[in-house]
Amino acid sequence: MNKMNSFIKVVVIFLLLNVFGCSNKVALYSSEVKYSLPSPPSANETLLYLFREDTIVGGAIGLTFVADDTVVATLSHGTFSYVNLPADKPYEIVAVMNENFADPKYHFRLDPEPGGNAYVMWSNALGLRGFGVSAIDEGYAEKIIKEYGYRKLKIKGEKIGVSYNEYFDKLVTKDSSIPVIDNEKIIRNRPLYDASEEQ
Amino acid sequence: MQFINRVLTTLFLLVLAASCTTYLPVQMTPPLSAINADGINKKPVAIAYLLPSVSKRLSFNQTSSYHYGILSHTLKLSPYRDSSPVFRKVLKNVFKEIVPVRSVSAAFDSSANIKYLISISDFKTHTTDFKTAIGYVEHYGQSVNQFDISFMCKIIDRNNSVVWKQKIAGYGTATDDEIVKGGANALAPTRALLSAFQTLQKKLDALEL
Repeated sequence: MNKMNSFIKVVVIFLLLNVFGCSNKVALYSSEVKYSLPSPPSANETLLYLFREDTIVGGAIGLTFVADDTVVATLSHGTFSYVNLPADKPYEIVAVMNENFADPKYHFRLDPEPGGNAYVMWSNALGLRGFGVSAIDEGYAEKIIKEYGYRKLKIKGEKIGVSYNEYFDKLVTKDSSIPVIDNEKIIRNRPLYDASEEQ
Repeated sequence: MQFINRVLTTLFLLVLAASCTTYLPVQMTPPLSAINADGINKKPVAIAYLLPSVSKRLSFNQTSSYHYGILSHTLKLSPYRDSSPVFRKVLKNVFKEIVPVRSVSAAFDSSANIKYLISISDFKTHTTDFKTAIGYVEHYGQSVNQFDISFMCKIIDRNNSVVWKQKIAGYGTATDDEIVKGGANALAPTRALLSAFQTLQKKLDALEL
């Protein structure tokens, strides 16, 4: 019986950690506002929509999307955002969890479509769509735009000082000069960084 | 009663196993900077290339033969979509002019200068090596440490005659250390695709047209 109780406690703690256990700065960096259809992208741009799957598992994790070196969205579960990217180069789209920029394991290389739209989604292990960042088709994106909340970044064009394009290019080609990602430095340099939180 | 219990237990286990299946979307687009034109003499030829949007949506699943407990892992690959930018880059390096087309007929209608049409097809992978990475189970389930890929590349002329056809293959590996740096399960497949297109560039460079 004692073993059973311990097992139940472990399961409950695990579930609580999954749902509530993580710090989250989503509201600090973005706010949920009414969505209105953006203007079509110019011939030199790609309109990129970023989604975060609507699931409660890991729902409290703060998720930040970075395109190469620029923060482009901060999302809670079941929300989306969009950004216009110059279509002059591919972009490494990285989904960073809880401001851990040094752990860019969820990433997607976006081949820009000049004058077109692109859609990517972060989904978690339990979602049938897959685990990580992946492209989704336009029809599905249009469907969930109507269901998900829209989050707008409070600060546009925030640079993190590291190029994920360069990072992944060098990782793939085994280049020894791969950039070192100093997460503490990145966080300290964020515009809304609050030193009092470290106390 | 015992029979019903057994049936219910079996159903429960089946549903549990199905719910624990993870789909790993693996994107293997190689960095374009790794395909350079050093030592390549551009051929004074205009060539059309076929990589229609329909093909970009094709994908196939590579199911792991290994199961971690009741977890099963399925790699979701989109080789046509992922190779599109690097195929374009290789062609740009080798040919003077390249023209994207959506069909064979459109290739030779679009310009009188176009004498050839190049296309890639029949992507295959055979030896996906899943290694149990205990330390990384939380994030990756398992790491893909080896990967091979192959595809057919074909050039036809205005008469629909095949002037060149070859199977192009590539192989890539990734260590657990590299995987934890962010390469995840895409690293070995990305290196395999990069190696295949580096081979394709060499073969096209050596080709007499």
